[in-house]
Amino acid sequence: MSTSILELSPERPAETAEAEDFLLVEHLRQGAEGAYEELIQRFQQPVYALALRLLSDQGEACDVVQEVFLKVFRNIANFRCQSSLKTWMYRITVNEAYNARRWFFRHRRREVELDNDPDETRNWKENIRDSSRSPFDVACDRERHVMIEAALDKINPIFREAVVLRDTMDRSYEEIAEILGVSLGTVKSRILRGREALRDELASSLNARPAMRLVPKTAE
Amino acid sequence: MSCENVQKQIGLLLDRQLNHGEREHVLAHIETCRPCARKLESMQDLRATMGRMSNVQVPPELTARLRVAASHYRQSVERRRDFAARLRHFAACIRLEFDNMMRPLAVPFAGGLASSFACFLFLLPSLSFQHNYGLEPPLFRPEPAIVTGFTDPDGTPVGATNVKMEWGSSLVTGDEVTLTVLVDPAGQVQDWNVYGDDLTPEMKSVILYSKFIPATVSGQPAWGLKQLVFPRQRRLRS
Repeated sequence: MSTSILELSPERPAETAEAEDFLLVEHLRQGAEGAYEELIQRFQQPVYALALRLLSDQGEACDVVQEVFLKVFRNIANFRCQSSLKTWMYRITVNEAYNARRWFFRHRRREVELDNDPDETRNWKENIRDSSRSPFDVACDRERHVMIEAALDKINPIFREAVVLRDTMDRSYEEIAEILGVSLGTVKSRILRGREALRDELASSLNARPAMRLVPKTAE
Repeated sequence: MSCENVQKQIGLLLDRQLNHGEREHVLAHIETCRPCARKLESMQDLRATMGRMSNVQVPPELTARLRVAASHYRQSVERRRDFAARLRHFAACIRLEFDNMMRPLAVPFAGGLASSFACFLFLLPSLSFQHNYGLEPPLFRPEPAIVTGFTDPDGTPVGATNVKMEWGSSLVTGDEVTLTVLVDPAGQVQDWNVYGDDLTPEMKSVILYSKFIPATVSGQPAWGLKQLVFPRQRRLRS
């Protein structure tokens, strides 16, 4: 279950990614039809994952992703390629998620959701998991994800952004500083404090109610 | 190095933000300190779990929404590019609106057209008129014709060989008598009139026994007037 400290992220080489980004940006500026599709195919998943982890609501995340892509379409001519395309899109996503959260607290805070069980609202495609992992691992992971999401919901959004970008989206400290528009020291501080807050929340939730103990048993 | 300091640096250790010396110190402490080792293990576990949280599947409806948004945006960009593109877009919009407007009428219109065509084919035979397929060309013949050399019912030739058949507007001299007959489309004399003298037996035989061919208008028989000129007979003084 644990990973090595020195494990490298399995991303493509940075130079290749930059060249592809530059080419894609050029095609987008020229209005090539295939460029829009390529942008969607390459970035919809990471942008959606980040928005979902920042908002914990699938519908809100979808709206934010759409807004992000519209802003990218509109402002691609102003993109200077000083950072990677993904970093730029993450920055827009964080800002849009912040706006959505602020709007949520202003307008929809008092609404009551009738169907708030995520397992009930998932369709059959989302329930199909990676077949390389055992059902026990999958069940454990799902339980942990629910707990972590609940804990992330409770910590300060500023710390949450930094922790999600680092631990979930696997961004470097420099990229996080660029995305959030803060200094490297601030990023380190936010990640440290965010992880501590997350650990505290997880610990308090475990103390408040005993965690489900998943132990495989044979039928008697 | 105290446990509190080491535990603060575990996060930086996992993120490879420590230099070589700091890293060695922290790892050396963790090897000897059980609580710090457990914290490192739990942090690694938490990071691995959070890393797997990025493997979420994008809802298909979101992909569709993004494609629609991209298509709309691209169209708006194309529209703003130049005046011709704007005109093309305007024409395409009008064509689309027209198609959408005509779509509900397409089936009734096609059905009406097909049924009217079928009705026309059904009624076509009754619309045909009688054609004149004889040798006579379908020209305009304003006056009836008369067959000369006719005979009376007894087979004797009628003495009308000296009759002249003139047009209705021909000049008549004082020695001639004019008989004008009105011939119907069936070739029968329906009325007659004599100018210049009384009706003679010769005229009567001509009216009764002659065969008239009716006047034609575009090949169709019609009413017509025929002027016959007879020589004036001298009256014998009794």
